Amino acid sequence: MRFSRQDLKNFDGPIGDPFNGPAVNKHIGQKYQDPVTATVIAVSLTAVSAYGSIKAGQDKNKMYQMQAKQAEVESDRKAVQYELQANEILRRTNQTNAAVVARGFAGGTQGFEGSAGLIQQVNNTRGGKEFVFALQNADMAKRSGLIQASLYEGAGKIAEQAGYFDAAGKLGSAAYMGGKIV
Amino acid sequence: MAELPRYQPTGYLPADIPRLDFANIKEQVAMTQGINSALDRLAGFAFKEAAERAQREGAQYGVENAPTMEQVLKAQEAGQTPQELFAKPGTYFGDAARKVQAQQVRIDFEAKARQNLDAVSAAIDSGAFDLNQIQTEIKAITTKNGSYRKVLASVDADEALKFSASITSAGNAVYKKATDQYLKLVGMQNERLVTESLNSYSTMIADVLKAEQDPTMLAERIKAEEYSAIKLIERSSRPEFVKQKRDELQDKIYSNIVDHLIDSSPNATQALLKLQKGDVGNLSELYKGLDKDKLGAMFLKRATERASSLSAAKNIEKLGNEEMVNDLLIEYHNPATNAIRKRDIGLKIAKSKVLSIEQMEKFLNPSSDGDSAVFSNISLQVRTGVITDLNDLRKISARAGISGKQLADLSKQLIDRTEKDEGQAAAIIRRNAGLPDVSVGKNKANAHAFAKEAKITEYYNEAKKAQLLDTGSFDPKSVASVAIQRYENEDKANIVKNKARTDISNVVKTLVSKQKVKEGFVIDESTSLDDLRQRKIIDESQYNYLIGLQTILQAQ
Repeated sequence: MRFSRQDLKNFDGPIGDPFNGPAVNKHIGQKYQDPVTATVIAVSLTAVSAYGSIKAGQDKNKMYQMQAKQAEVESDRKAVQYELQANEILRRTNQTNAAVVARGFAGGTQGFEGSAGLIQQVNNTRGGKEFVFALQNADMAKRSGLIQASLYEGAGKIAEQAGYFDAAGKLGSAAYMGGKIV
Repeated sequence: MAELPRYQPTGYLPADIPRLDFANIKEQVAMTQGINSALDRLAGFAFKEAAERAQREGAQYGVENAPTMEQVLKAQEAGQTPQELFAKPGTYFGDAARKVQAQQVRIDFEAKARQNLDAVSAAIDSGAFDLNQIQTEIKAITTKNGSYRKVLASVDADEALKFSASITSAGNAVYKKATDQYLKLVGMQNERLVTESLNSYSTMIADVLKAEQDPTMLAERIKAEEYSAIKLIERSSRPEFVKQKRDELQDKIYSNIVDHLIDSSPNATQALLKLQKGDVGNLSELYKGLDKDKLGAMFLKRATERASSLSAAKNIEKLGNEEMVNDLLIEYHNPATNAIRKRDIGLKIAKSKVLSIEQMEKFLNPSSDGDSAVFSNISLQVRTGVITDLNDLRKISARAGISGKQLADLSKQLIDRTEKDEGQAAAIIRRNAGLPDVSVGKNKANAHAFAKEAKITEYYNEAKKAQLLDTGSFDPKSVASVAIQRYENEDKANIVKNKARTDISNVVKTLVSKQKVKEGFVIDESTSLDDLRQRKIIDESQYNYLIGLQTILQAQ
C-alpha cells in the first residue's frame, strides 16, 4: 500500500477508530495514570542505579589497587636513586683517601700513618656520615612506598564497601517509597 | 708542607619524611557520610509521613469539632477568648485542626455577612432606598465584620485576610450598586425636571419676545434664558438626552421667534418678506446670532402647520355642514315634513354653502325623478361596498345629475350598509376578545374578555372618530383591525404600566393607613411628587421609589 503525502501528514494527529471512536492519546493517558506501572518503572530504575553504585565502588577499588602498585614502584625507584647517591659518596671518599696516601708516600713519609692516617680517618668519618644518610633515605623511601600502597589498598576496599552500602540504601528507599505508592 | 686533600661534603642530608595520602581514611569518611545522608533521607521521609498523617488527622478533627459561629460570638460576648474553642497550636495536628476550624468559621462569618449585604442589595433593587441609610447599613455590616475579622485573626491570620478581602469586595460592589442606582434616580429626576421646565422656558421666551422692545436687552434676555435652560439640561449624564433636549430647546426658541414674527405681521407672507429683508423689529440684535437657514426652515414649518390647522378647522366645519345638509335632505324628503319646515331647511342648506343654487334646486325639487339608470348604478356601488364615503357619494351624485330624493335614498343605503359593517366589526372585536357571537353574561371567568372588548371598542371609537375627521366617512372593518392591532401593540406596555399603577396604589394605601392622605387619593403620571415630598406626605425613599414608577407610567 502506498501513502500519499497528505496521509503521512495525517499521521501526526490521533487516528480515530471506526468502532471505538477517536483514540485521544489513550496509551499515553494509561501510562501516566497507572501507579503500579509507574512504581515498577521507578523500582527498575533504582535497581539499575544500585548496580551502578556497586560497579562504581568496585572500579574505585581497582583504581586504588593500581595506585598502590604505582606507589610501590615509585618508592623503589627513589630508593635506588638514594643507593646510587651512597655509592657516589663512597667513591669520593676513596678517591680523597687515595690522594692522601699518594701525597704521603711521595713526601717520603708513611702514607697510612701520621698526619696522612689522621686525614684519612677524618675523611672516612665525614664521608661515612653522608653514606649512612643516603642509605637511610633509601630505606625510608622504600618503607613509605610500602605504607602508601597499603593505604591505597585499604581505601580501595572501603570504596567497594561504600558502593555496596549506597546500593543497599537506594534499594531500601525504593522499597519504602514503592510500598507507599502501591 | 702542602696541605693534604680532604673529603669535601656533598651536602646530602637526611630526606624529608614523605607525605602520605590517607585515602583509606578519606574513603571511610565519605562512606560514613553517604550512609548518614541515606539514613537522614529515610528519617526525613518517615518524619514527613508522620507529619502528613498528623495533619490529616488534625484536619479531620477540625472538621468534626469546628466551633459554630454562635459559639464563637457567645464566647466573645462573655469576655472569653475565642481561641480556647479552637485546637491548640504548635503541633502538626493542632495547627491543621485549627486551620480547618478557622476556615469553617470564616465560611460561616462570610455567609452571614453576605446575607446582610444581600438584604441591602435587595433593598437597593426594590428602588425604595435612601443612600445615607444604605451607607449607614454597609458601615454597620463592615464594623461587625471588623469584629469577625478580629476573632479570625486571633486564630488564623490567613483566614482573616481572606475574609476581609472577600467581604470588602462584596461590600464595595453593593455600595457601587447603591451609588449607581442613586445617580440613576437623580438623573431621572433631573431629566424629568428638564422635560417639565422646557415648556416653561418656551413660554418665558415667548413672553420676552412680546414684551421686550429694546433689541439689545431682548437678545441678552433670550440668551440668558437659553443659557439657564442649557445648564439645567446638562445636569443629565446621558449625552443622547442632552442632545435631544438641546435640539428641542433650539426648536422652541426658533419656533417662538417665527411665531412672534408671524403674529406681529398682517399675515405669513408679509412676515416672510420682512424676514427676507432682515426687517425684524425688536429682534434685530437677536437676529444677528441666529442660524438663517434654520430660521427659514422653521418659518416654513410653522407657516405650514398654521395653514394646515386652519384648513383642518375649515374641513371640520365643512364636514359638519355636509352632514347637516345630508340630514336636512333626508328630513326634507320625509313625507311628514310640512311646508314651513321645508322652507327652513331650504334656507339652512343655502346658508351652509355646501350646495350650489342649481344643485339645491335639483335636490329640492320633488317633481324631478332624476336619472334612474344612474341612480341604480350608484345604488349598486353603494350596496357592493365600492362607495363607502359620503363625500364621494355626494360628488358622484352631483356630477351625475340625480335628484335630491335619490341622493337621500342613496345616503340612507350607505348608512344602512355602514351600520351593517359596524355590526360585523363589533363581532370581529368580540371574537378577538374571546367572546362568542351570542350574548353571554359577565362572570369571573370571562371578565378579562369583557375588559379586552371594552378596551378594543374604545380604540375602535377613537379610530372611527379620527377617520371620520380625516376623510368624512369610515370603513368599520378596517377600523376594527386598526383597533385590534393597537391593542396588541399596547398590551405589553400596559402590563408594565398596570404593575406600576398597582405598586403606586400600594404606596397610597400605606399613606392612607398612616393617615397622611385621605381615602380616594390618587397618584398618577401627572402628580407632582416634589410637592408631596415638600408637604412631608412622602419621605425620601418613597419619593425615589415613586419617581421610578411614575417614569414608567409616563413612558410612551
